[in-house]
Amino acid sequence: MINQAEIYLDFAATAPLHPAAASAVARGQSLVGNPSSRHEAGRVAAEALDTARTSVARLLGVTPPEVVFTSGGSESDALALWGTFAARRFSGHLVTTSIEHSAVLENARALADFGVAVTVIDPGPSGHVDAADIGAAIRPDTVLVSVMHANNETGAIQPIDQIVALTRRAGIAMHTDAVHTAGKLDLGSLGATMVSVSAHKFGGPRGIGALAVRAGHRLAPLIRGGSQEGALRAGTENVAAAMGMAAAVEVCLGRLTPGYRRGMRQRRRRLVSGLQEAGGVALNVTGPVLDETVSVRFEGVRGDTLADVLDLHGIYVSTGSACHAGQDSVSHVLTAQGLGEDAARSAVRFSLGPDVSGEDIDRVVSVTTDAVHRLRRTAGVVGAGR
Amino acid sequence: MPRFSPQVIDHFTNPRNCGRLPSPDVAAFVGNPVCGDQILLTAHVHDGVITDIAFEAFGCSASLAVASIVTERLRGSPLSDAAVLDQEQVAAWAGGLSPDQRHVAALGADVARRLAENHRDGITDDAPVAAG
Repeated sequence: MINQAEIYLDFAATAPLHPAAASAVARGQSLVGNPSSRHEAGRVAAEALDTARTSVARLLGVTPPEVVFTSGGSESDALALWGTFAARRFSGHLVTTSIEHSAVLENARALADFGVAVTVIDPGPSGHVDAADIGAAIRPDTVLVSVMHANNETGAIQPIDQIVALTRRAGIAMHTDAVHTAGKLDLGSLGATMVSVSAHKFGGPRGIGALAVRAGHRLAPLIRGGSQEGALRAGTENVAAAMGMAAAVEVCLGRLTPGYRRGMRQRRRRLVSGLQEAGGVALNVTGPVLDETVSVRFEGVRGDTLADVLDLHGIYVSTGSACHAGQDSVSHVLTAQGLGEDAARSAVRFSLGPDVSGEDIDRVVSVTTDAVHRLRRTAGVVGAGR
Repeated sequence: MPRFSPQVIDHFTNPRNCGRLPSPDVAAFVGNPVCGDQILLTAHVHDGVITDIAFEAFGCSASLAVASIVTERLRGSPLSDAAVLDQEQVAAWAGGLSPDQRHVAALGADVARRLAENHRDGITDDAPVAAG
């Protein structure tokens, strides 16, 4: 091992548990009652759950009864898609995009097998979907439009306000997967019919998330057998996790200030300008982007190999592509926006968090630049033109 | 738990014999068309012995390490050793490879055997041939 002073730049994969969330989970674990029980211990647990629900509702800009706690973002997405179409006997039309998280895309494909008509819209080279393309895809039988708030690999912020306006005019439901932006951008004014979030992406515990479901939207539960969560998710509630999620929500809402956002933008600029010194560096998104997500590609370098070098230096990042057992997995997001396979393979995602310092960024830039130069030398003529 | 053996980490972080030899006697260029890993070997051969050898490689971390390991092992060896190299030997030199890394052992063995075949046949690869 070279140096184990760790720098965590994979907040988009999961964020460290915030101490306030850890404390809340510990408090929640001490509650013995089931929120459905009539006795005092049950009532205490129910009150704690209600309080947590109120915080999450504030994050999502909905009323507490419109919050459904789930096991995380994937379940929230599944409930939004399957629940909507199961409530309509799998008839109608879904519009989504080719850059969605697989938690949406795989469910869309499965719904197609059940008879739902599905239209998948591609983004432009900037990484953004054109709202006009979504509008053009809406048909008389369209039931739901599902477009993510910001892409988890690239950070490209999608034109949700325009798409919400389109769906409202058409009188159809709109779902947005806001797992990547929750706790970072204001979700309260999104206006979507359904919004998915996951606690561990913003400092809450793993294993809990939520789906905001606006009153009046018809949804069938995935899990039946109880009236919990407004009869939309049966099962004894995970009160401790909900309390931890709520604590993380309060931390995030408390720091969502212009100054915090400016600080994140400064970190992004410092990282991007430093990385560009390596030469042959391109940003994978142009236009509206979440400052926390820096998706770049390095000409002539494999992203997974570069990530391994950084790993050996205690710097943790992600790639959208990887080589496993001689089989390739290339980012469906980057190829959807028009990048060739070699370019998509050369991408690395650095995702920033609140505790990343300027000194951390400078070290990341230094190690990355050295690694890029070395890998290019190693590739020589073999890597030319990639 | 480490993803790589100490040998792979060593050669990945401190590659030996990296580059291209000037006026090589033989060159072999092999690639995995699926995952894109590629290794180019250039060598000087005298009296059937590999007197100098170098590599350029593009691919996953394990493939870069294996390229370096293969050159280190083959330098000073008879070309006939390269002609019979198999992936089990390469994997052993690499200190063991996990199932998802085994393909690079095959790539390393392929490019070594290709080097021997090319020398025998008087061929110099100027583009990658498919592994296997």
